[in-house]
Amino acid sequence: MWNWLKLAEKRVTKPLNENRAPVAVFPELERNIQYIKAQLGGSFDILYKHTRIGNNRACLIMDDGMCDNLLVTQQVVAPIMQLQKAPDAPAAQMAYIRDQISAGIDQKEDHTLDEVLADIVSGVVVLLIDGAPFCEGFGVQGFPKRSIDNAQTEVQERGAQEAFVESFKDNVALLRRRVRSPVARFELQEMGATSRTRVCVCYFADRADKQMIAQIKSRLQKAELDMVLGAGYLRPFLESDVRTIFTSVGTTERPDIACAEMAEGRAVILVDGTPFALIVPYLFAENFQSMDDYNHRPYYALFIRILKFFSFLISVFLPGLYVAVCTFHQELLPASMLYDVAVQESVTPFPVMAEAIFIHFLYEIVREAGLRMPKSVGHAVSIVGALVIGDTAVSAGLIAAPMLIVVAMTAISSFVVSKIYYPVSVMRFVFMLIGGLAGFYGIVLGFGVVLFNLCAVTAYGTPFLAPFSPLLVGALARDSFWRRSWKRLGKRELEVHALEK
Amino acid sequence: MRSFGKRALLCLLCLLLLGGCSAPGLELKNRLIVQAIGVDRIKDGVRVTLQVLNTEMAGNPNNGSDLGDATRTLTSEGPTVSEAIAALSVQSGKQPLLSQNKLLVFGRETAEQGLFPLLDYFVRDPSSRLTVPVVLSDTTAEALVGVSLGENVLSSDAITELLGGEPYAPAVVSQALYAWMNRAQSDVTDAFLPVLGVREQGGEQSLLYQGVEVFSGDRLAYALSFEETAALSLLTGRMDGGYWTVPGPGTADETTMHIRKASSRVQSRIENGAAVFEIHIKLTADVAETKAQSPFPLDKAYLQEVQSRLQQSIANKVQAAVRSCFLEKSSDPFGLGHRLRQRHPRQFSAQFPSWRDALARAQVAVSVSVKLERIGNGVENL
Amino acid sequence: MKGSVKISVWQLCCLLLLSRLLTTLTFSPVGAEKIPTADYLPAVFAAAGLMLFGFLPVILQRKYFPGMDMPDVAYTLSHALSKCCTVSYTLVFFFLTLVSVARLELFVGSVVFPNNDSAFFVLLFAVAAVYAAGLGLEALGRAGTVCLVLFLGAFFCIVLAMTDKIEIANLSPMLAKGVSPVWTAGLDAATRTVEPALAAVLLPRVSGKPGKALAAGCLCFICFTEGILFYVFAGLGDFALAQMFPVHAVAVLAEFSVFQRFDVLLTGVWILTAFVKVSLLLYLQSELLKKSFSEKPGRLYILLAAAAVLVIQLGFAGKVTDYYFTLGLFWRTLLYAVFVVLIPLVFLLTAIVKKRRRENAQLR
Repeated sequence: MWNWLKLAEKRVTKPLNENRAPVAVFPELERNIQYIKAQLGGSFDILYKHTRIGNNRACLIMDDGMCDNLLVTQQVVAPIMQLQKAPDAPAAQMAYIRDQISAGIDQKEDHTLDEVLADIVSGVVVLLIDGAPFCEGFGVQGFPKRSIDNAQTEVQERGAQEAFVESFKDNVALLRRRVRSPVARFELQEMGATSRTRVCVCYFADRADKQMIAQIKSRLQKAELDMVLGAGYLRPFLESDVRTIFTSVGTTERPDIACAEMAEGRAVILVDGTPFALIVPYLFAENFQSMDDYNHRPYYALFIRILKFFSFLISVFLPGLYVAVCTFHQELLPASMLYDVAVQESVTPFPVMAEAIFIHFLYEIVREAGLRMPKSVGHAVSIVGALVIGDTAVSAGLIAAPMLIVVAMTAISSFVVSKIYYPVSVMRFVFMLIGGLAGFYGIVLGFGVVLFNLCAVTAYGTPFLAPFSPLLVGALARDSFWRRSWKRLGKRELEVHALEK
Repeated sequence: MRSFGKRALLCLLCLLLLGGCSAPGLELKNRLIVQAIGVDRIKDGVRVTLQVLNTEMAGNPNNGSDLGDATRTLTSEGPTVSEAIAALSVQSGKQPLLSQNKLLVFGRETAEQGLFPLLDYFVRDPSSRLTVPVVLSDTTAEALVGVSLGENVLSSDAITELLGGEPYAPAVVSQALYAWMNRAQSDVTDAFLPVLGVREQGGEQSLLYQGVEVFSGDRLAYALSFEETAALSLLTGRMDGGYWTVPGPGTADETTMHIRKASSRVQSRIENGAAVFEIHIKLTADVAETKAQSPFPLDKAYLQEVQSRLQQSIANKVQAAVRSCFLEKSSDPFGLGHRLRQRHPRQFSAQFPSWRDALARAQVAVSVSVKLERIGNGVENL
Repeated sequence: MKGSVKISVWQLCCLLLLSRLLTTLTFSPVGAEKIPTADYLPAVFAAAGLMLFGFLPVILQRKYFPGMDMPDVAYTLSHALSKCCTVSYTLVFFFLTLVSVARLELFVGSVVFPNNDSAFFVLLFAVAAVYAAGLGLEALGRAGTVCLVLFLGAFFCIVLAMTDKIEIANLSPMLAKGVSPVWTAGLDAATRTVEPALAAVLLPRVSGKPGKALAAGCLCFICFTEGILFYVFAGLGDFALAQMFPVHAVAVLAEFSVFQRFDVLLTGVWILTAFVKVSLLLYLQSELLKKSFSEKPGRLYILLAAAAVLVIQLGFAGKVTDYYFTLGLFWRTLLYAVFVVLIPLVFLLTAIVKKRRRENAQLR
């Protein structure tokens, strides 16, 4: 059966383009232009300006939408047009224009036509001179991009209100602004055979483990991808070998969090076109931490983290426990609560497990609908959801009121730890099934299996459940549930590879 | 091989889940929520009376009923307790849920014939709670469990409320199942149970707390008087409050003391082949109420007088109670013998092969110290 | 057993302690020697002493053959002896797995799901244990630490909720029949499981000095067991010995405000602890078999061991009377004395003598 599935998949997919040998820049201008036109096809946004520099024919090629026309004119075209004296030899002319005429700093020499093509579609104006076996690229990017905005998914009360944007250069600038130290390194890689998306690995040279950085780069290089349109595409290549429902690669929208992670010896990966950075390695305990914890006083940070942890437990286990208790372990309910539950459940037609799965599924549908649909009709979804789930289902006797309370508590609790919302949603359904089939016993076993699974995960040498398991008292006392005061905490960050045990 | 193992595991898991479908739990709608159980012996077996929650009636919001109206009783008979309860399941089509049972009642005649055979089911069943209070009914358990107020059956909550006064009244005593079992199975201590009765007046029934009765083994033996019950409360650490009236200071005067804290310490030894118990009782009390022919100030002399009278009164009553049980009834519900055996196990085994026979020779001395703390808001009596 | 995967000595201590504490939790008076309840309290010290005695071969092993497990030590004597040692340890662990699963089924069938067929739940447990065992020693060590913390937390909650039910008067007279019941109960407790054998096989995979961890583990065992037995007998008195699972019975008494059934906490940690123990035992059986036979089908060994346990438990055992085979004091003492103490000691002493002779010969 598995082989059949693999065959079926092969029929609908094509292998990635095989790597071919790079084509060097031809000395003949026409040949170069023909090659470029053949590769780029009839794209209307590729502009060709033919000119003469001295006695040599030249051509400027650019992608209209990707370049800033003013910069093109001021830094490239105008100076070349106004060129009075230039060397005769094409190569010397090129060097002269690069060094003495062009006003920009971002310049690059291309020796292969693949590089030329990549530069053209990246917003670089390329100058070809007849007779020169290379060409010069001038960086004049001016493509449309979003301005820096508030974080949408990681809202902080007292933190900075800036978030990453799609342009990775802007993102790097946001990081540089916060860490004005030469130890911050930003190393570029290209990924995606077709998309050639730029991926930047950021880390602090004096604290990130060199082996870890090398491993990250190696994994990214080995990743076979055709298109990289989001940070999520890279995640599977960076995660641990042990399959687990919780990811060991974190994401963040916030530059302050990214800097904090880098300061702990982690690597942050910026993907061009994605306003989310990847953090590697990412530990389970970090799902309960936020920037606000470090802006508030330690006692409040402790309170909030404990609250988050209990919210996580409620969102995962409460529905399953409720189903287990109502089906197998009615003796666990206090007497007065048992009577209420018994009375309410006696009028509903479905078994408790079916009721629980149905109502939670309905909730997920409403939530997903609210997320995807246009804002103008969003409030209609809320009204329908509240009426259908909240009032009508109970009045019609389809759902018992205690079940509704369980759904509400679960839903609200799951948003407290929104970073792990998706695995929690799935786990919730699994535990509901287990609770309905095997009761509390099954839930404990399920918890044990999940615990073992998480304990088996090691992210780049660091145990995923550190500092809880293995128990590292120093790290626990420093910044787990309890966060020490900045007088102690601020001296030097605890480096993540110190958690290896 | 590795992928085969994974596939095998996956198939097994699917089979397991299917297997689980055939063994579901029982939902609440299929359970009889038992609130009280009464057991009476009949000629060929037992009669079991269950007080259960009528979820259908309570569950319907349209009939205006509340939980208090939703209790009903079911009765069935069988050769044993488990068979009688099983017959109830057949009757109602639901399985009883014993874990919410709040009360276990036995009839007087049933108790006189011995309770161990009837209690085995409740000890053995995993859902039944060992902390459930056990009471005796003055008549039959069926009458107590089925007592009604107007048209509705009195719920077990209301019945057990009567036992809730244990810390506040010296004569009220409650006993959990496991505690009763411990005492009844002991060869030196006697078990006891509170007795509740049903009184009918003007066509209406009401519940009454009637005192405490002591067992010999698992058979009902005799009833304790008020003083004996108070002594039992004091010596078993149950009394955490209560009122005690002493005469004085004048001949026709009375002072009622509110006992806020009570503790006892028993020093036991064996002397000349007899058990000697020195009971020290410590109380903290307040003046609750005075009744006098003429006004008098609640001064130091008065307080000392009252304190002394209270000490004397309690000491005399406790001593009399213990002696009465030891001498007249050859019974030790106070646990004194157990304490003696704990302290001197070998001597006890050697000197007292039968503790009941040695009770008559036992010497008891009681001393009481009372600490009067407050006199309330009035500095004189009215 | 030499491998690159190592756990810390404290993680080993957690695993052994969990294994030991599970035995205390599952204490059942059925088939055990009848002794006065208060005598169980000093018996804990006797049990601790006997267990420490059982660790003597492990201490010698660590001192004279660091980095080697017992089959490796036997290998220095002869290849065949090493295989015999491996097989005997595998059988001991298999037996212990069977005992643990049997006890778990008895508990599940008697207390947790009295109205359902327990076979399904045993099957589920076995599948989960196979998965967990396959994740390796690191996962076991880390999960063991978390489970121990949960265990102690649950125990603490139950103890707090039980405190007002304690009556010293419920305890029977201590040492009323002399010290022999104390030693009997101590031996009974010490021989219920085989932590020294677990340590003997795991030692090469442990980093750090085991001395402190052993002392701490022993202390923890004494404190926990004394505490739980005190609460059991001071709460329930002699009635505790009339219950199938006295520790569970006393947890049923624990109440706090509207929360009535704290025994559910105990049930949860019980299942979790049994899960860790059985997973560890399956893992060790697989490692031993890999050592002696082929290394390749590592997970298959785990699967086979679990299947064998299931077949015996569901096919042949499963009735209350069949649990008695796991409970006889004589056979348990024999198993403990021979496999945990005697055979390892003989191997070790012989190997030490051989090693000394070789060293002396080399010096000459």
